[in-house]
Amino acid sequence: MSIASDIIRGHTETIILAHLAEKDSYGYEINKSIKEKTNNQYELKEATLYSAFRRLEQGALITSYWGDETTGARRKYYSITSLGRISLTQNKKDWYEAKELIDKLINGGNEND
Amino acid sequence: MIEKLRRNVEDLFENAPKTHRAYELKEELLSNLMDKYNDLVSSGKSEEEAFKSVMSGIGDVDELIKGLKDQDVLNYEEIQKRREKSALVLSVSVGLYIMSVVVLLLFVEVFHANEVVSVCLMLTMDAIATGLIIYNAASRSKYIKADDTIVEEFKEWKSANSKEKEIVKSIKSIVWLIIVALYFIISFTFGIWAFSWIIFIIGAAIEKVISLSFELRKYKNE
Repeated sequence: MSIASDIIRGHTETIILAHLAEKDSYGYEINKSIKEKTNNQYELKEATLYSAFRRLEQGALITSYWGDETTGARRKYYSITSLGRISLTQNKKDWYEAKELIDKLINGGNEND
Repeated sequence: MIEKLRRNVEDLFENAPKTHRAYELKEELLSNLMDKYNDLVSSGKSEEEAFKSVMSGIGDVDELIKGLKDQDVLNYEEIQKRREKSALVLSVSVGLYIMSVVVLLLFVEVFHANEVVSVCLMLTMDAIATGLIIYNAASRSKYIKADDTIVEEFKEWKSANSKEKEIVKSIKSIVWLIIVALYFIISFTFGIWAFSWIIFIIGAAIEKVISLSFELRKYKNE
């Protein structure tokens, strides 16, 4: 699982972008959805999540705003920008290409193996 | 238990810079952790279990906090170093002012040197001291706002304002030095001590003119 975790961690930003492409969201909601989609197998550390948020925000791929919750603590919401959507499309393309190549490489060129 | 969570998060941010950005990150983290905690408790975990699970899920925040420090316009050590340098330059200048008078007295009273030469020597020392003070004020770093808040805008405005004040002050001190020099030179050469003091009244008038011209310029800029 730890190798799989490392590979997933390398794509944290793409995963966040993909989530935000559906709707604006906040830290815990994103992490919860990751956990649910992976059947409780994978969950981001908060530190990893916020580092990724910061990088994405600096790159103008996402923007943030504070929610107006009347009860409990305020939530910070993130929203994808048009630049973020372009980046997401490119990242997805890169991933499929890499996946195909790695499949070929580790299967000895025989895809039916 | 929520209070315990808050305390733990406060502890994590102990070494973070006291900036608006750090405060926001802390609030964001805390609100998300509380959501997670509440979710875990409502899914049937005990409070203790939920708390442990939340805390262990945070991971290493050191990197995150280091990122906050990097974003600061200037780091604290650099500011401290500049302050020390500025204090040193200032005390050397003040020392020069005092020593210049001592040198004057020494040359005139003890060595019976030419008065004009002695006064010139004193004024040269004063000029060096004034030059150092002006350099110190002019090379001081300008405050650049860290983010788009009103407080930061105010700090920037204040910094710009006080820099102009420093320049006016420096110009005035140069003017007064020249006046003192003229007073001595004229008095010694022509021996008109009885009424050469009038130059100081002229000096006061010149000072007012300088202040006024800067005020007028400020009005024009606005």
